[in-house]
Amino acid sequence: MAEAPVLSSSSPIDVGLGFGGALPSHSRLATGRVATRGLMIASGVGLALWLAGLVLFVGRDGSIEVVLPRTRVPPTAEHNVAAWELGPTIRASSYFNEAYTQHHPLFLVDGRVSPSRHEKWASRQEDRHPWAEIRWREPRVLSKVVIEHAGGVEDASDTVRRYRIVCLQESGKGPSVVEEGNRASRAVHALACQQSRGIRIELEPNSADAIVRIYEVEAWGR
Amino acid sequence: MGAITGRRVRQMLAAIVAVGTLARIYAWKTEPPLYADEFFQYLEPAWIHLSGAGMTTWEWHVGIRSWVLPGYHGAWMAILSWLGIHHGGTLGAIIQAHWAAVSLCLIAMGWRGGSSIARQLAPQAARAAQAEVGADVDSPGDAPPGAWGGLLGAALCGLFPLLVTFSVHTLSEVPSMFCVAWAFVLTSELCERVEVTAAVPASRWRCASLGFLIGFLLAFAIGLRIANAPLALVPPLALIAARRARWLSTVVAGALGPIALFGITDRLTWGGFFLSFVRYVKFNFLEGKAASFGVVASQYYAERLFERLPIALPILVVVALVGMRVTWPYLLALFGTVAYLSTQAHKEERFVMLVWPLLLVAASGTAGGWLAARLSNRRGGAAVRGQRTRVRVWAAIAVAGALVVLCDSARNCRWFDANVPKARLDAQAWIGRQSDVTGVLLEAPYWTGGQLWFGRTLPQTVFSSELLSNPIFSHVLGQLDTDCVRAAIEAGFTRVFEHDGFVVLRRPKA
Repeated sequence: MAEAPVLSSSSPIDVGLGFGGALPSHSRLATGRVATRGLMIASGVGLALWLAGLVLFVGRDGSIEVVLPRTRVPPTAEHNVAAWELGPTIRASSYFNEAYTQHHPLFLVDGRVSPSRHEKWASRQEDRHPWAEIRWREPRVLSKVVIEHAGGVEDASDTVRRYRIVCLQESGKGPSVVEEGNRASRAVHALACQQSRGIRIELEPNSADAIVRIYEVEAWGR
Repeated sequence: MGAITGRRVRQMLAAIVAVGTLARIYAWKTEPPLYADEFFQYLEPAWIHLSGAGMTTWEWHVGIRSWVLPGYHGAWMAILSWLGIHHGGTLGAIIQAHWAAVSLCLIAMGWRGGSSIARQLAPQAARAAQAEVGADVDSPGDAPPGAWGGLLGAALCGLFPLLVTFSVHTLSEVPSMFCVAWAFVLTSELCERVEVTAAVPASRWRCASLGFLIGFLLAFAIGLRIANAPLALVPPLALIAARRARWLSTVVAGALGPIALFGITDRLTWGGFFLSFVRYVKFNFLEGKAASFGVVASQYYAERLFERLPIALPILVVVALVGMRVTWPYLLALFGTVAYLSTQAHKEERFVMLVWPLLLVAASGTAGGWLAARLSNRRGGAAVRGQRTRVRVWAAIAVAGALVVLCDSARNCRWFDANVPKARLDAQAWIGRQSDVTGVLLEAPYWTGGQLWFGRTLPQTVFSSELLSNPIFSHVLGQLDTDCVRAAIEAGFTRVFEHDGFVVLRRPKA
């Protein structure tokens, strides 16, 4: 197919996305060269930064961490060391976060006695290995962990059956409790643990498409 | 050309870039948020992946969106966080500024497109100018051919108030518009290139590169916004009509990269190649479910376009039509987009925003070509003094015409079919900066900047009276004199911040 001649070979076009023809591409003007070089260096630095950011972004697992301020002095007697007023740090693998239904992990420690269905931590459906961690500010001697399951507010079948509670210590993971067939809506687990800094609950959803729901976690100790 | 010097052209382009930069800074500082989508579709998903906290809209639950644009934003957020900028609102504002800066590419696009169209419409003037300049078009003395059209295009595309204000919004329509406009301009340039012979391998390579870039940009534009897909037919059609069909293979080759990027991203995130695109087409076009978000009359887009430019729109269209021999791809895309989107039940003005750069380039190039032809025809035998006077008169007319367009747009660019009150976002960001906040109840979560604007991983959820008694919710944000605010006051909350109709209340300290 013949080419239709319009302009001669020196038409002021460049291949990139710049001001081809208006700004000198191989100009004698030093300023043009400096500007072009500056733009190229800036673009290179920007691209390198963005690629580094992409690596960081892809490497994140989507888990959440919330640090609460301390609003109450901890008592000396045995108490719930996970209470929100004592300023714990809450971590969770995910949470159910539709625009109008946010089952945030902070509901785990809000201390509500008669919570509504909204006031629970629920995992995202895509999260097949949900977990939650509660860490406190000072080492504590832990005696038991109490979990308020969904069965106390919702259908009994929503109570998580299988989970493991691990005591977290300075040196790493400490003693743990494994639950294989829980049916209780309020499950009390003895967990003696010295120098505990927190607990981690690893849960297994009841079915392939189920989410896990927990209304409250109490960690008793002194 | 002789009419204006190359040095003057560069000075004017520099001035346009300077004014365009200032205009964008002003827009960035003052432009209110428009659509909830600019937060919840393209920023919030990235923020959720980074921080774990946020609100996921139904589109992201069903996987109807591609992760490419949120991933692009997320990479910037991640590196900025690593550099010490942690507050979500600040990160969001930086992303907005980034798109405003990127939109400066419209100036180069307008220059290139206007020049190309002007050269093709007034080839004799262009040849005369080249003969005068010789082979060195970079000469500081004479302006490159098509400079009139280029300058008008750069000024109109770069300074058009509607495009300036729209460019700060983090919507997929913004980068898609840039890609489409550039693809059309490069198509114009490829259509005018002639030195494609085996004897000139360098020029062959440049044409192939142009074709590759056109394909790349078109595919990227469609990947970002699939509703723009019909536009991809026009550049190949223009190349065939200009007897440049041999470069279609390079266009296809250029498209492969973005196609692979979007396909693989979907495979990695949603579990199937192009899965989000399939779901999008099914939802919007096959099942027509977009109508559930509002149905408006078919003339909606035409009315909106006229409202944006009541005086200058007819002038621009007529001018662009005069140059139809060259501008037809732009006009076909423009009218085609408006026509086919008008057949869809759900309409939003942002969907047709890309017609503006196409129209502005087409009209600028036509006007520039006409000016160049007139000045070129009358040069023979004219005294230098008379020539200078004519140039000044025509330059004044061109500037006046451009000013009419810009002023007409400036008068009518501050209204959109959706608006998110900026005061609510300011109040939300204010709460995020408080050290004693532990949770926020929002009157209308979807009309905020999402968790990103709050900037904390603390709970932020829709107001309900039962949650008001939950002690972890320390603050309430609502519009003055609404049930939400009244209930909070009755529950003992006190006003701690008030801004432009919005109020923040705090739970009394125990």
